[in-house]
Amino acid sequence: MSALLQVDSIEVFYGRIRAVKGVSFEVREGEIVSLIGANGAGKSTILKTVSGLIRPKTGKIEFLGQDITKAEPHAIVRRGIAHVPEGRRVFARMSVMENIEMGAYVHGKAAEEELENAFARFPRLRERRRQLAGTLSGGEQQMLAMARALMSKPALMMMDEPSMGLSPILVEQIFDIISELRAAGTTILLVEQNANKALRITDRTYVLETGRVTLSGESRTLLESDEVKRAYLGGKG
Amino acid sequence: MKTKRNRIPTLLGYAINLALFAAFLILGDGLIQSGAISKYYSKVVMLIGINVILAVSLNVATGYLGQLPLGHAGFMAVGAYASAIFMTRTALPASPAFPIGILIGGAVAAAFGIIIGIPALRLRGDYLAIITLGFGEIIRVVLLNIDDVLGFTLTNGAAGLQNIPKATTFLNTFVCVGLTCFLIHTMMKSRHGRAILALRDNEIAADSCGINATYYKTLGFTASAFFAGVAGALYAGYIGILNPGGFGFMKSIEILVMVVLGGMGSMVGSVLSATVLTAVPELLRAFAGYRMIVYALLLIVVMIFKPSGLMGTYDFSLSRLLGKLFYGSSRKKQGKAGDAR
Repeated sequence: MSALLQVDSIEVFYGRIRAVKGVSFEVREGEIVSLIGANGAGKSTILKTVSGLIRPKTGKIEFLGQDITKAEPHAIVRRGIAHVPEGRRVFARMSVMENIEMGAYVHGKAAEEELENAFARFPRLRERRRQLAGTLSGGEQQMLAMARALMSKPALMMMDEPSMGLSPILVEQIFDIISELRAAGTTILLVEQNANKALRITDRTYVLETGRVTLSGESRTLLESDEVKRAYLGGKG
Repeated sequence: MKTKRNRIPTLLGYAINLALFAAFLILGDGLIQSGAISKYYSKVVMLIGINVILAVSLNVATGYLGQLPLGHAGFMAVGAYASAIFMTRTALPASPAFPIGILIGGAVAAAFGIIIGIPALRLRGDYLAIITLGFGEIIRVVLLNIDDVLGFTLTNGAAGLQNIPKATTFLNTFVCVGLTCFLIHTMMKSRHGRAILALRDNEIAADSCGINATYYKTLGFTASAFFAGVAGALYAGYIGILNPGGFGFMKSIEILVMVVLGGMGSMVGSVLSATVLTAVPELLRAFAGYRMIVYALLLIVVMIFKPSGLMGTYDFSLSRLLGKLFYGSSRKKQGKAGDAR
């Protein structure tokens, strides 16, 4: 199986601070991969770098065999990478419907059946489709951000901490939806602080610590690993 | 899930609006020609038209794009001078020359919009305000100093550019007002307009939807500059003499006040407040010194009681209103444009 996304030893700087120190990883087609780690490990930075919002100083990012290291963010979306940014970035002054339509922006007009699919997956959003997105609850906004990203029919969907700031029930729901998406064949790169949850629903995981990959492998194996248990799962190990 | 239409057909809507606008033009022109509106008042009305274009164009950058440029008078000045230089040199008679002059004014201002927009729009908020303020002042100072370039008299410096043909009339001013509003309205209803609104709401989310942020910011900014240039050209033909001093920082603020008072993001608001804020100081001339106090109090009162501006982000649509009358309003209003608020 060839890699859909291949990230090769990227280094990212914020001014003089080296936030990502030579990280390499890959996402294969149909897989769901997570990057886990504590605050400041560089997880979000990596996602932003892949989607072109930040430029790496060195290293290379390949998507579908093509170099996208220097591509503009909007060009990267067109190539098929959707990014659900951290913190539920919805268009607050647009209605739910308009937000979802914006997701299909790269394809011109949103197809009627695509909208139908989105509403079938997120029934809450159908009820609220005329409401301004800024008036939705946190969980609903997260669903809206996901629905919007899916409208671009991405080959790879990147999600940045979808469970952040949500109640346990909503976290459960969001992870259920991620599992459903995976079952439907979407390739997903997930960034999470909730290591336990992430390890349970993903195929492979890379553990990040202060800008470096310290562990990687099958999520199932990592879940049993003493090191991971000690550091992230609260086990005594 | 087909959306049921409760609006009248788009073309019919355009036709009704066009007919009403034409009636307004004919009526206004008739009243002025017959002398029912005095020369003084017709001048005020023309100034209102020019200020409406300025406010509506600035609203594109402030209300729709969500930026805060403070150099709008600079674009107006560029348009005014470009058109005036053309008008004083051309051999064409005024009637064919003026539309060309207006377009030249708009085009040159738009070119400056691109030149200034590309570096300025990399910044946001206060920083963008300051950089555009700087550019606006640079334009003014340059106009003051390029009176004589390689033996060519260009702007005539501080003495002012004189004997500009007074080609601005009620009719051509308000045709420009109508065209400005129509073009900006259609732009904002289009896919490009949606992209601009998305950028205003959340730039990172817009990026992640595949919207080219730099392109659309520059587009909005340039459109804003273009129509400011048109207003400048009209102003040059209205006043007959141009002096860089009139296009300073205070003029930019004056236009910004109109937009903020009307409600950022509402075209109707910009039109209304440009009208009121141009008319009020004129109508209060009888009170001489007190009129600026009334003007200032008006601003304070509106900002206290309606900080989002007179109209908020609401945009009046005759087509929507007629649609409701004909088809009833059994459905809840669609959350379009800003009427959801």
